[in-house]
Amino acid sequence: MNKYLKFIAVLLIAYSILAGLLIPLSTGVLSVLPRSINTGNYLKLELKAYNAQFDSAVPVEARIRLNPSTALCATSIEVKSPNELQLNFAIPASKLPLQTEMKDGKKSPFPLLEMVDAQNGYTSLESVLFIEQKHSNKADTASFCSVVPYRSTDKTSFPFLNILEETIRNLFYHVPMWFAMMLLLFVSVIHSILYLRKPQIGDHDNKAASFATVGVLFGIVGITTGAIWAKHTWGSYWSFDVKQNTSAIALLIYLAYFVLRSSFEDMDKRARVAAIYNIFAFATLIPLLYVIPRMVDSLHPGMGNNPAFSKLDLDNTMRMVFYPAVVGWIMMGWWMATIAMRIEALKIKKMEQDT
Amino acid sequence: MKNRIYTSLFLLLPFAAFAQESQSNDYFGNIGKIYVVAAVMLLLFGTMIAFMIYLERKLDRLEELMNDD
Repeated sequence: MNKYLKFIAVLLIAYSILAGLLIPLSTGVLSVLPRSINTGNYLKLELKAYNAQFDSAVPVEARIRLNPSTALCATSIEVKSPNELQLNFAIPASKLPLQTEMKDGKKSPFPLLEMVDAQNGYTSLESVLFIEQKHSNKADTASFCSVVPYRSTDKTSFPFLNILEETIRNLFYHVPMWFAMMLLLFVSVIHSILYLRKPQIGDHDNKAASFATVGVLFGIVGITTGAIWAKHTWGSYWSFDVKQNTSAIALLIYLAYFVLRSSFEDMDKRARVAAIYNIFAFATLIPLLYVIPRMVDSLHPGMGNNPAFSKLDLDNTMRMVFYPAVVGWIMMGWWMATIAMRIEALKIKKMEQDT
Repeated sequence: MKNRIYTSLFLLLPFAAFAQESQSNDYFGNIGKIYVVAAVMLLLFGTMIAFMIYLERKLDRLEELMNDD
């Protein structure tokens, strides 16, 4: 591997680690209380936020949107601490134009809490509270206001998602492992095919084995980092999710490849059987990782009705870190595989000299 | 000081940390779950180091073979 490529690999990984850890999360709402209110009441909404600086951000604007064009604006806002606000609303006694169904059959985000200020930018929380349409005339003054689109600030930040919180950064350390694994195993299977076509020429068996070793190593890192991530977002290390199960099966199939290789004494026989097995292993890898998980419901993003590359899961700031991380780890994996291959090639050469 | 030792111990042993009992007691849930990211990165680099050790042992054996002659 070219030394400049190695330099670029290290640079890309260093960049993805630094940017992945240093770019802050955008402000997000952790919790609101109360979660239900009757119409015709004054609402005192206690709000806890993450990563906010409300004390230095005046004025904060807040509103509860009932449908795309109507909103209830906060009558007053009290800043209690940098991360705590009390938003005061007057819920009118009349029937509210709350939109509960969306045209495309998706879950309605309304009532949608929206906040904006110069310091923290735009923050929102869907289905913020349950408004019971019960008539009482405590609050006559309605605080309806027209919906002027809030400007989002151009601050560089990763999106705040509930439950995920800071672990959204794991995207740069967990997902590139699978991308790198996929490419390394693909290179491995190419070498296996080349070996079967012309067994005498080149060092294809050794190359196939080395690339598979590093590929499986990345797969193991991917599955264990995924388990740690799952523990703190899905609730347990292993929730027998389709994606977890199928990737574990895929890795076991590849582990059998190494067992098979080590069980032959004769080099030619070993290379031939291993190459054929490698092709079958790769052929099962594709449906296991990319077809079956997509056919059933899964907790993992990208599965079932769960898009992996949706706007929020991977916004533009995240892409700027994610793609360099993918390229960097692929190159790093390639480098690792070439070193393993060269050591093995020396060993084979030595053994050939001895005989 | 004692707290600091415990903190570093937990960073070294992500799997040995307390189970998630409640939101406030959960060490890994603190500060927006940033320690989950720390554990993931530690595991990633731990594996890379383990691979380097594996390669070095392979080289050691090869060197022994060469030196036998």
